[in-house]
Amino acid sequence: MILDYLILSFTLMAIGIYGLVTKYRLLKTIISIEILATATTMNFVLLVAASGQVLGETLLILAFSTDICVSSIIVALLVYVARNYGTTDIRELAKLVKDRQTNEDNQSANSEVR
Amino acid sequence: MNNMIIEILAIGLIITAFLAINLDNSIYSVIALGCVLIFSSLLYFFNGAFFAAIFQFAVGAGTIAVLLIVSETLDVQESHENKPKLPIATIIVAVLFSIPVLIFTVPVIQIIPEATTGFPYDLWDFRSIDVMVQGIVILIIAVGMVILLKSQKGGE
Repeated sequence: MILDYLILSFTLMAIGIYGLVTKYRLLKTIISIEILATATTMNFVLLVAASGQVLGETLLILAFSTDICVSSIIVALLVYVARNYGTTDIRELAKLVKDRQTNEDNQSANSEVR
Repeated sequence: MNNMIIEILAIGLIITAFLAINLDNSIYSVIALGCVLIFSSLLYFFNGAFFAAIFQFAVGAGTIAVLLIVSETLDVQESHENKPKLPIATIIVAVLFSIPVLIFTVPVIQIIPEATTGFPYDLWDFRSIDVMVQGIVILIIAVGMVILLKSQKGGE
C-alpha cells in the first residue's frame, strides 16, 4: 500500500515537470513547483508514517519551511517582474531583455562613433 | 472503506493537479492548487501522519492566500481574455493518469515501528537547532523581500 503512494507521488512529480516544461507564465511555474514540492514531501510523509518514527515527522518542518521560503522568494520575484516589465510571460520577458541589450549595444556603438 | 477514501483522494489529487496546470484562468488554477494541498493533507491524515496533515493544511492555506492575491493582481495587469471552456479533455487525461495508482501494486517491505518518545520531545531534543536556524532563515527572507519591494518602490 505504501509503495502505491510512490507511484502516486511519481505521477504528481511528472505532472509538475510537465507544467514546468510546457507552460510559459510565471504563475504556472510557481504552481508547478508547488506540485513538485507536494510530491516530494508526500514520499517522505508516507514512508515516515509507515515506519512509525515521530522523529521523521519532525524533519518535515524543515521541508515545509524550505518550501515556504522557495515559494515566497519566487512570488516576490514574480511581483517584481510583473511591475517592472508589465508581463509574466517568459518568452516575452526574454524578448524584452534581448531588445534592451541590443538597444544598449546600439547606444554604446553610437557614442563610440561620436 | 478507508482504502476507498484514500483511492478517491488520490484520484482527486491527480485531477486537481492537472487542472491547476492546464486551466487558463489564474484564479481557477490557484483554487485547483488549493484543492491539491487539501487532498494531500487529507491523505496524510488518513495514513496516521496527523502532524504532517496539520502542517500541510496550514502551509497550504497561507500559500493559497498569497497566490490568490498575486493572481488577481496579475489578472488586472495583463487583462487577458478569459475563455470559459470546459476542461473535459484535461479531466479525461487526468483520470487516465490516475489509473496506475489504482491498478499497480508493489510488494511492501514491513517496517517495524520503533519506540519513540513523542513529537514535542523529538522536536526539541533532536531538532532544536534546526528549528532555530529555520526561524532565522525565514526572518532573513522576509526582511530581504521587504527590502526588494521597498527598493523597487523607491526606484519608481
